[in-house]
Amino acid sequence: MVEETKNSVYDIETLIREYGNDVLRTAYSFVRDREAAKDLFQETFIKANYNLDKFRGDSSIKTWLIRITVNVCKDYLKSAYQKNVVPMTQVEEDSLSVEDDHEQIENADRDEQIRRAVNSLPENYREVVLCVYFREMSVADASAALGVPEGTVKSRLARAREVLKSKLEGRL
Amino acid sequence: MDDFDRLLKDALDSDIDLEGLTVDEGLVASTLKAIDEAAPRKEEIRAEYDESFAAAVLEAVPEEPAVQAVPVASVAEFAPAPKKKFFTGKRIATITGIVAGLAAVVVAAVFLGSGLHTSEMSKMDSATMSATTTNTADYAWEGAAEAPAAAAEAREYASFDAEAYSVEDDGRAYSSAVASAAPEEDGLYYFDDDDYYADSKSDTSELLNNVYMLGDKDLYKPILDAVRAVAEGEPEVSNPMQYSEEEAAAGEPEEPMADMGEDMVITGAAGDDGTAAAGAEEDEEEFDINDPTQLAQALAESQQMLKETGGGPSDKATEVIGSIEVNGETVPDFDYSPEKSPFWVDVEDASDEALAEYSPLIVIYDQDNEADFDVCVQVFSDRCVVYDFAFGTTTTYTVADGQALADTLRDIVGQ
Repeated sequence: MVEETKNSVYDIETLIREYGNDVLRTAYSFVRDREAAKDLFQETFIKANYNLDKFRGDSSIKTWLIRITVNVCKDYLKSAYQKNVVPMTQVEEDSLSVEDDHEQIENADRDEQIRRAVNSLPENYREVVLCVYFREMSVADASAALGVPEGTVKSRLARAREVLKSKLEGRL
Repeated sequence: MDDFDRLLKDALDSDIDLEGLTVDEGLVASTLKAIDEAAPRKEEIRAEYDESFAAAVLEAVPEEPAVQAVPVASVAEFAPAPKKKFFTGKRIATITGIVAGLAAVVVAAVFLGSGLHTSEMSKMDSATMSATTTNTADYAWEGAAEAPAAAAEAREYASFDAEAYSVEDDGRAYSSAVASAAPEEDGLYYFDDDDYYADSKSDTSELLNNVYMLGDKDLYKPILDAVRAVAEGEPEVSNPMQYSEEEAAAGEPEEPMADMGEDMVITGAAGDDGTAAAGAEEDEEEFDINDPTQLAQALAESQQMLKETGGGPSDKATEVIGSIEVNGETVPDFDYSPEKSPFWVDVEDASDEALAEYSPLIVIYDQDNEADFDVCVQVFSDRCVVYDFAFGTTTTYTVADGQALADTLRDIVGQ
């Protein structure tokens, strides 16, 4: 575990090994593209290395890294959008075999619909949902990671849930 | 966590595409290599900037300018003064009225929680200022302890055309940030957009440091251009509606905009108890956001005042709300950001109604007293319109729809 105290001197390789999976998966959850996620993973740690000496310890180093990741992803998506590239339109392949029982298939279908609904949320809402439900962050950590006040996290979360419920009405 | 939360979490956790998505040694090695390659460049750029920037600043600022030359070596000394609660509701409202310069501008702010959050207020100030400078750079100002009165500031701190550049903060690249500069009694300040306030760290030295990071030699040029414009004493103000010559000569108006003909300022305040306020500046009225009757009554009163003062839609709206242009060209990657301001609505994102009409805005504040710009409410003489920028919806309520509007506002603030 990386020691987290103010004025700690962090070793970038240790950070990569300790929190790399969190960064990679967070990036993927945003861009839904493995290769892009790896590129963003690298970019995240390059930026982290640049700014490591400015890390003030106001949040955990993990939250700080996730914040960088989220921002890198947002910039990527914005850039991709400008280029009319839509990285999130991967063809979803049905990975279930015919042997899967009916309940499994139903659950998988339900989960897929939920993920699609989450991915269709506006960016500000999607990132809050991903941080809280997928990254299992507390509201405070999500606030630090996203750079928005806790109240905003709460209100966006509340609204996102309402929208998701509305979108998924009758399907769950 | 209820059933829905659990379903949501399970669905995200069960994403089959995440299976096997782990960091392998190859990715670690390639990342470390990329970091190694990037590191020397940082120092190289920093050294280059130190020399060239110092020379350029000193060249740009004449001997007897309104501002003092700032050697780079002491740039850090000119970091903004500690934040103080300078932007009172009154001043914000006054600035709003001045810079908008529109007939019947009513700003009603609904606050939840106690007091005004200084940084957010600064952001709001930035927002209103940027609204006056559709074709210029963003403007932001950090209140110094001895800052002049709000109206004088609005006059004194003009925006400048500047090219878009990027700054980086805690690893975040703000590619649509725009350079601005403003004279200050004790030095020069350089600003990026509202991120300056969000993190309270983009002071001069920090911003320069951030610019270094980007590795583009030309990135400091807009800053220098802005400095030069200040030094030459004729900063370009593209929107003549910002303030009248009379106002400029007189400084801060003695009376708020409410007494200036048909203009009126409505501001608001709130306490910890979930109440909010709306009403004329000198006559704030609290209402409980959970009480649709009170809310409807407050809105009705606001609307009535609008009618009485001849307020309403203005055909000048398109001068105020629009995409950000720099040097005549739209900033390519600028888009609406709810965190910034309801004024920063890209024309493509705003409804025709929002573009065609400019009317009072209710800015929703969340439980931390931070403005939630995802949604804003415009109060017209005969209706309220809720713009949900996040979801791109527009809903119109009449006063009779108090219950529905109250429900909407509660949803917005997550109560």
